[in-house]
Amino acid sequence: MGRLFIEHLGGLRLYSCASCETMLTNRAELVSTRFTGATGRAFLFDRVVNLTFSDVQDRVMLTGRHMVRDVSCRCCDAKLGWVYEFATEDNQKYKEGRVILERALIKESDGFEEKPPPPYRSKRHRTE
Amino acid sequence: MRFNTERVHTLSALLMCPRDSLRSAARWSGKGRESRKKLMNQLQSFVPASVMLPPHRLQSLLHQAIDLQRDRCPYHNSRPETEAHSRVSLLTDHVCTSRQFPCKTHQVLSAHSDEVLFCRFSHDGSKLATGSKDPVINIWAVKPDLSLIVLRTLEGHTYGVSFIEWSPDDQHIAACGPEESSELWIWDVGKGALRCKMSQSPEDSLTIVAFHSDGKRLVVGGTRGQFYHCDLDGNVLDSWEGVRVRCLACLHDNKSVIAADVHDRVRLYNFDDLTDTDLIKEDHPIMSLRVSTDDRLILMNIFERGVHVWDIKDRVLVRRLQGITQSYYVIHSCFGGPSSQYVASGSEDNQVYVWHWTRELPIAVLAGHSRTINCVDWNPVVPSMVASASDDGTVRVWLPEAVGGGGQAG
Repeated sequence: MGRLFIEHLGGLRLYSCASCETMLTNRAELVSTRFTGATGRAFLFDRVVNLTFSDVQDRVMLTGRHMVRDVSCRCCDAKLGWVYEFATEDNQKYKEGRVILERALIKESDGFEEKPPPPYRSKRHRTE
Repeated sequence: MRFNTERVHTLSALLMCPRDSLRSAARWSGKGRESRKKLMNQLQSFVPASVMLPPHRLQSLLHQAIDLQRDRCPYHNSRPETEAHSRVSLLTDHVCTSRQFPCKTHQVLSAHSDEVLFCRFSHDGSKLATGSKDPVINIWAVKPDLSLIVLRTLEGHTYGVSFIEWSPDDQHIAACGPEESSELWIWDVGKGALRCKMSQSPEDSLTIVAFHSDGKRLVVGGTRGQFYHCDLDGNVLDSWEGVRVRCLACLHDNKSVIAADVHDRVRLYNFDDLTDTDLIKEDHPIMSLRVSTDDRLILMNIFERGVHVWDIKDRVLVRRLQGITQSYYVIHSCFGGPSSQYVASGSEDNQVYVWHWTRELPIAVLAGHSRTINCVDWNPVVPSMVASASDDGTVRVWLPEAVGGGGQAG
């Protein structure tokens, strides 16, 4: 395969794949820290890049039934978490389109201030 | 009588003139055809076209017809200067067929042992540099019969060669690796030896480079935030903070640097007076960028969105060229043809796409490679030659069908 195109979101505090350090997302995209995955604590992010998605699976979680896809790193295929495609219950709809990354599978590092600052992107409402 | 006193003086002088020299003084060849013709030519510009036919009218109409046919010809690939109007026949409408356009594999270059990530012709069109994952750079010479042979092999890169740029005088090439690579390699092509290896920090990621038009300085950068301005010996002259650089190009004014960043912005940077200006904002990631030779157009491969052509001066998206597949790999495209009127790009469906930049749909789709085509370059001096570098480990040289010969080169 040729040279994989690797996206980058920039930001002041970056989250990358623990195995290959490919940039995934940043602190500004963090929606909630109150999630749990197979390896322990997990975070919900609004926008994550450099992922590959599995087929849709039906899963029953603590918060109800959801349709999810597992996500892995585009570069090294390490498992990272999952993305919510569809939530059956109304009060869980805020998760749709957002990605869970398990804390043990990602690495946090410092970014830097970019000039000019990245353009502002308004998000759907956040709920903790 | 104050009107045109000069004329009055000339006429009075003629009144005084002796008979023999009168005609030469008045510049009149005497009663006859010659002087009448001259008079008619002078009057013609004052007489409306419906009364008297303008001079050379038929000839100018025929020239217009030739120019129109040339403009409408989709495969027209020769320089207008070398084509005198008198050599075009009007017995039938002029249209080049695709047979005269580069569309047939003339040669398959298989010197590389792994995926070929990049290819770029020198400015004088006499050489082709190809970079691969193997990780070697091959410099090929273009022979007079338009076949290519290996001139030099440059070894030593650690991570593979994913980008090569020729210096304006074609004496040096600057080469970068992929994201893991923190070094810039500057090679002397004539000697086939490394001139210098620039490396500031092992944490750096230097993936893209561009030479200034004076050939003495270059800019290099990457998505981890490095953006250096340095000289040919690798000395960093300036470092621009805060930019995650994806693509670079230098304009011919020797000071403007065009840089695309990870936030889909294209901005103009000036290292002389340290100013920067906004140019273009795209909505999707910019994978690669090229500027036309007249500094007027920018060509960008946009991730999953085709190839965009922007006008730099007016900052307007002029064309979205469609047809290619690019949703995984970095793909490079190029301008081509005598007046940069063509655009060619690689694609993930193993084909080379060629467009006339004014039309969205491709005019030629060249098949032959068996895997993704990472990079396409058009010979700037030989408008009939196109090279494409692919993951199948080969570089194909495309020429018009009309050119004879062909074969393999090791």
